[in-house]
Amino acid sequence: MPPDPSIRGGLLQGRALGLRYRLALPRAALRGRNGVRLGVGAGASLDFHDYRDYHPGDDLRHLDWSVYARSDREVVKLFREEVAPHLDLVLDHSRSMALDGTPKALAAATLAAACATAAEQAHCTRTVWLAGGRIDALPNSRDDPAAWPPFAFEACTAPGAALLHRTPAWRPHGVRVLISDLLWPADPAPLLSRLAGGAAALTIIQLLADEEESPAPRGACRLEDVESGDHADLLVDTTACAAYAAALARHRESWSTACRACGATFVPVTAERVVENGRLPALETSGLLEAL
Amino acid sequence: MLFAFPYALAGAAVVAGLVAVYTFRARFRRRPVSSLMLWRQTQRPRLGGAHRDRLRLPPLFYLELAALAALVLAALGPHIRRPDPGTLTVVFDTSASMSAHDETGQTPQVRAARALQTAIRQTGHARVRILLARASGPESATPAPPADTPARLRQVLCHDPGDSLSACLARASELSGPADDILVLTDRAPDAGTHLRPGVRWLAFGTPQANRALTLAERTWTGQGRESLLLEVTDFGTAEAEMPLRVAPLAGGPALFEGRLAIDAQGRARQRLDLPPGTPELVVELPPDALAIDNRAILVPDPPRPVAVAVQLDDAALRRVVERALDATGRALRDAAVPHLVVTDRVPSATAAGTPWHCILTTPEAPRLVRGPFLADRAHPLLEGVAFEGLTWSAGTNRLPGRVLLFAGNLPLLSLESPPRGSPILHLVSAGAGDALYRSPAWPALVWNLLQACADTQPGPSLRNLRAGITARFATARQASDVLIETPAGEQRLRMRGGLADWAPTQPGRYRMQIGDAHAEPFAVNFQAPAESDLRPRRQGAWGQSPDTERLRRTHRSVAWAAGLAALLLAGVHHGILGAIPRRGAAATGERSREA
Repeated sequence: MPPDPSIRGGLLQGRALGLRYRLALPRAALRGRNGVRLGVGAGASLDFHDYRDYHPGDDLRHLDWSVYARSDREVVKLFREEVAPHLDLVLDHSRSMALDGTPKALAAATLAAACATAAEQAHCTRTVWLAGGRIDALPNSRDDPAAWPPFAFEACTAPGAALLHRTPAWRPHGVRVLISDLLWPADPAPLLSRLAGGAAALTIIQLLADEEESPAPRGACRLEDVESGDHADLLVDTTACAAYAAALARHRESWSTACRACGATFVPVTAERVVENGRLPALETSGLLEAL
Repeated sequence: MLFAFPYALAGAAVVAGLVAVYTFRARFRRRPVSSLMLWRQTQRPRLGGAHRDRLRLPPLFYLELAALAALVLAALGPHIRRPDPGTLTVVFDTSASMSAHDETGQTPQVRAARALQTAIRQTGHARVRILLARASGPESATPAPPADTPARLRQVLCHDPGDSLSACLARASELSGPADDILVLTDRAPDAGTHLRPGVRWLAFGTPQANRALTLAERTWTGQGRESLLLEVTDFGTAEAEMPLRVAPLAGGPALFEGRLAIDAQGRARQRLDLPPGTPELVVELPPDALAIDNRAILVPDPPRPVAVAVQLDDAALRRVVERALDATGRALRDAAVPHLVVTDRVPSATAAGTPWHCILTTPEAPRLVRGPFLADRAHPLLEGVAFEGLTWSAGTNRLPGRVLLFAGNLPLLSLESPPRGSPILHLVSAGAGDALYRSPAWPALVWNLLQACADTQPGPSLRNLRAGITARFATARQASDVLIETPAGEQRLRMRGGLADWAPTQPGRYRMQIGDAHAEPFAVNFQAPAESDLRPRRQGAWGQSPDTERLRRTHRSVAWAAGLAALLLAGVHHGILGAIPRRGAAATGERSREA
C-alpha cells in the first residue's frame, strides 16, 4: 500500500505542534541514561541525595569530612542522579487507523509526531513502535519526525495480540504512550498490565473518528471490517446507532477502568478535533504534554 | 369524484418505484468500518431460527411517499361536482313540422319532451328556462319547475310557419352563464357552418317523410260580385300522380269541387275555380297525411273595400283629371255623403276625430318648371311603385306642412301632414290640369296608393285571407286602445295605436275581429309555408356534443390544485428536513466539543 500523503502532512503538523509542548514526566521511578533530568536514584548531580557508610572503593571526594570529625564515622555523601528519560511511543498502524472518509490517519500521525517532538523538548530519548500483527520499531524514530521514513496504516491485524504476547524490550522506567482506536475484542486489563509493567508512566490514547463515536442513521448497510474483511448486514437506524453508542461507552469504560487499575491514563480523542486553535487540548488536559 | 385523466393512474407506478428504491437501497450498501465489534452488539440475537424483520423505513420515505401520492393525485385531475349545476336553457322549435306524425304516430314534439325529461334527470339542473323559437322571434315561456318542464313542452302549440332558432340560440347564449347549458330541441340539423359553442347541445327528432300540402289558396274578387279561387297543391315526396282535393262551404253543404288533381313534373297541381256571387266561406281540404296543418285552408269572402271620395275642386279641368284617375281604380265611390277622402284645393277649416282624409292640391308660389332631380321617400307606402323620372313639374317656393315625401331639388312637391287628432292630409303642388304629372303613369299609381291608404284605415283587417306568420294591418276607431279578436284558441285583445295595429297571427283557422258592439269582421289565417310542409329534409341526431373534458369542466370543479399544493408543501417539508439534518449534526458535534 503506498504511504498515505496525509500521514506526511500529519507528521509535519504534529512536529510543529509538539514544539509548543514538553512531555510531562513523572518524578517517581523515572530512569534512564545519564541526562539532564533528575532521577530517583543517586547519581552525579549537584543535588544532595543521602548519606551512607563508606565502603572501600568509594570516591574519597564524596567522603563527608565534617561528619567524620564529629562522629568519627566515615560517611559518603550521595547526590541525585541525572537521567535522560525515554519515551516508547506505540502507534497502531492497522488499517482501521486510516479508515476511509475519516481523518484518523492524519490525526494519528499528528499525535505521534507531536508526542515525539514534545519528548525531544523534554530532553527525552524516544522510540516509535509500529504495532500491528507484530511490533516493529520505526527506523530513525529518534530523529526529527520530518525525517521519519514513510509508513502506512496497513496492518491487517489489531495490535492487541502483539501487545500482549510479542512485546519488544521496552525501556524500563520509561514513559510509554499507545495511540490506537482500541477496537478489538479483548480484555484490556492483561494488555495494560503488560504494557505498564516496568514503565514510569503509561498513557493510552484512543483515537476515533466522529463517525465512529456517533454514527448517523444511514439505513440498511453492509458494514465491512477494513482489517478482517468480514461484513455484516445491518439496519443503521436511530435504534442501532443508540445501541452502538451504548456499546462504545461500555468499551471505553472497560479501558478506562483497566487504565485506572494499572495507573495508566486513558485519553479519548476525536480525530476531527485533535487540533483546536493550534493546540492539542486533549493531551494537555490529560497531562501528557505540558505547554511551554 | 371524477378524474379527468384516468390514465395518469399509471403514475402510481412511481410510488411503487419509490418503495423499490428504498427497499433495494437498503440492501448491500457498503460502508467500511474500523471494526464490527461494536456493531455486532447492536444486532438482535437470532433465537429460534430464522425470523422475519419488519421493514423499517425512515420517516423521509413516508414523506416522499405522501408527496408522490399527492403528485399522482394532482396528475389524475380530480374533480368534484359543482354545488350549483347551473341553468338549463331549452330552445324549443315551435314550427309546424314539429307536429308531424311519423309511422308510429309520434311527433318530434313528444320525442323532444321525452329527451328533455331525460336530460334534466341526468344533469340535475335546478333551473330550466324555456325559449320558444317562434317564427316571429324568441319568446320566453312561463317559468316552471324542472320536473314540469317536459309536460309544459307537450302543451306548446307547434303551428308556426318557420322558426327563429338562430336568434333564439343567440338570446339563450346571452342569458346563459359560462357554466350553464343550452339544449336545442328541433327537428332539423343545424345550418351548415353553424358553430355551437361549448355547452350547447342540438338535438333533432325529425323524421324524413313524404307529405302533401296546400301551398297556395287565394280568393280573389273579379268584379260584379264574382270571385275566383286559385289553389295550389304541392307533393313533397309521395310520388303520386294525382291528388284528391275537396272544396266545400265551411258551414256545410254540397262541395263546390271534389276531384283529383294531376301532379305535374314539379310536383305541383293547380286548380282555378270561379265562384258565383254570394259564395260563403269555404274550406279546402286534402286527405290526411303526416302533417295535418297544411291540409286545410279556410277562405272567407274578401270583397274590396270601396273608398268614398268627394272631389271639391273649382277647376273643372283639374276635377275631370282627378275623377278620371279615381274611376280607373275601380274602388272609389264618388259623391258619397260621408266621404273617406276629400280631394280639394282648399285648406280644411279644422281637423278633428272622424274627419276624412284630405288631398289638397296647392297652387305653387312663384312657379317654375323643374325636371328633377326628384328626391322621394321610397320607404313611404304612398310612393310605392311611383316613378317621377322624366317629369316636368311646376314647383313653387311655398312651404308644405307635414313630412315632405317628394322634393325637386330643394322645392317640396308632396307632403303628408298627420294631425294628432285628425286624419292625414296630403299636400300636392299642382299648377293645374296641364301639369305633366297628370299625363304620366305616376299619377294613377299615386291615386291608387292614396285610396289604399284610406282603405287600410277603415275598421277591419286589411286582408281577410291571411297567411300564417305574415304581418297584416288591423284598423279600428282611432280613439280605441285595443280590439277584441276571437281566435281559434280563444279571445285575444290586440293593442291599437292610433287606431292601427300590425299583427302576424300564426295559428291557422277562422278569426273574428270585433268592431263596435254588434259588428265583427271575419278573417281567416291559413298555413301556407312550403318550407315547413316539406318534411324530407327533417333529421334526427345530436350535434354539439361537448368533449368529455369540456363537459367535465362545466359540471365539476377541479381540485387538482389542492393535491398539487399538498405535494408542494410536502416537498417543502422534505427539503427542510434534509437541510436541517446536517445542521443538527454539526450543532451536536459543536456541543460535544464544548463539553469536552
